Amino acid sequence: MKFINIKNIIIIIIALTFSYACMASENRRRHPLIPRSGVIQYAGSIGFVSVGAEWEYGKREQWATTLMIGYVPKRHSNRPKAAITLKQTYSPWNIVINGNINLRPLNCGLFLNTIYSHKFWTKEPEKYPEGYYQISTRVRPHIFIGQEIEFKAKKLKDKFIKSISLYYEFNSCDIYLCSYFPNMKYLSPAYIFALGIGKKLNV
Amino acid sequence: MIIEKEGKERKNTIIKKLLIHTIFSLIFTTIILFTSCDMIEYHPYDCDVSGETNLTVKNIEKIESLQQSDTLRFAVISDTQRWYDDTYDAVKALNRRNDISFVVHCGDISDFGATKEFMWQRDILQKLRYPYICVIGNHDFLGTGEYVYKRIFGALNFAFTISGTRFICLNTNALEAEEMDNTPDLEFLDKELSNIGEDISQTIIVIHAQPFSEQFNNAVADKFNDKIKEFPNLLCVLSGHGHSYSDRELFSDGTHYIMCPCIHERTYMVFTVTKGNYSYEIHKY
Repeated sequence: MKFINIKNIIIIIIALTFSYACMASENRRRHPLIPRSGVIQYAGSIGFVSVGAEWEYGKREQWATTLMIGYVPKRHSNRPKAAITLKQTYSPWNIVINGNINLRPLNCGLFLNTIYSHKFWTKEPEKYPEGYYQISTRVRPHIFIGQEIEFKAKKLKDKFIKSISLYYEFNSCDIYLCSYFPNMKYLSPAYIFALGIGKKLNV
Repeated sequence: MIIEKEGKERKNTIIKKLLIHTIFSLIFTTIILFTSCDMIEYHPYDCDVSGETNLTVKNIEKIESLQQSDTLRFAVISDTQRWYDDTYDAVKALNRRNDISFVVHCGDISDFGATKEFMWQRDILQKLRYPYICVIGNHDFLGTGEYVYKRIFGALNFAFTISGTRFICLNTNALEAEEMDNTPDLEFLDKELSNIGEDISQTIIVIHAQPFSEQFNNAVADKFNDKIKEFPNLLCVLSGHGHSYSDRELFSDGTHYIMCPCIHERTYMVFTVTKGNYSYEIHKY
């Protein structure tokens, strides 16, 4: 059982992602380890601003894995914090509107977020009796749902950036979901979902 | 024929483009409408507090300006963490009464210390017709919870007086403190002792975790009990944490430690304090 911890799970996910990416992009010119997109996101429970890279794979490029690092401002706490996010996206449809615009009407998936500060722990510190809090304050699993639109700018054609995507997503995390379900009389979904808006530069 | 086909295709593309434009402008309007209600979040532990802050000081001001009387009646609730429906019902039940002066919350406002949990709970408690005070519970320390508590409510140790009764509210969650030796803050108690005015005839202590619980710094449990007994006419010690009602003399010395049940028991307590005496009732709602 010791093998199943967050660190190992993240390593396995990354390894699997890369191997899938390698298989999926055999017939493409680009090296599979080179990300397809650079991502920048505002809010969305992973930081004030987060930047990262995205790898797409699958027959119709319906799968994507994103690794992002975000900046969480100090606000009323003692110091600013960094947060790392590993996101797995499934977008079943990629609709070609015309030569210049593609639409992904549904993006959904999960992401794990870890925040870095001495106040947080993955496993309960030893000072606590066993199973005292039963959660990790550092690692937050989230679910999300959103949409994406891709613009293939003519002027950028044949240059480094092939297209620009804009997306938004609504996410909720474990602590909000387990707060919502026993309290559906007082809490509404608007309480537990948070919005993130982002931009991808596709190469 | 070819020209006709091209014309049709062009028409189709224009219609498609228009459709997409409408759909996207609609979606973005909805987003903007939604965002107005707190949907922008940088992180669940981002300490981004909006709305009322510094409530301990504000509410103490309100409590101390209440009319003095020989009989003081106040309600006690505790451990409202992640029980929003029950807390909301308790607030409604308390608001239906008209015989209490203020409400004491014995700690554990949040369950995970997340910023929004505190704000949701505060927004429910703000619906009370009475001023209220909250002591900090062990769950309120998780993550950045302590900073959010300090921002929304204020100091971890505080005191106030109403009708000659001094209420001393203390943080006793030593297991959460980084330096265990400072919890409970005996220096604060010393300072309070030296500042006791002549108008104070009796004392009530409000804490979250009782002595001998896993949270309490039990190395100083006896010292703590001796210290609080130095206050003028100590009536009782109110606490939460155990989630069930109990009234025990923990040190077999006549000092009653009364534990208020959690809000999920759908129970609140009402204390009636007269000169030199107190009684309480347990109410189900």
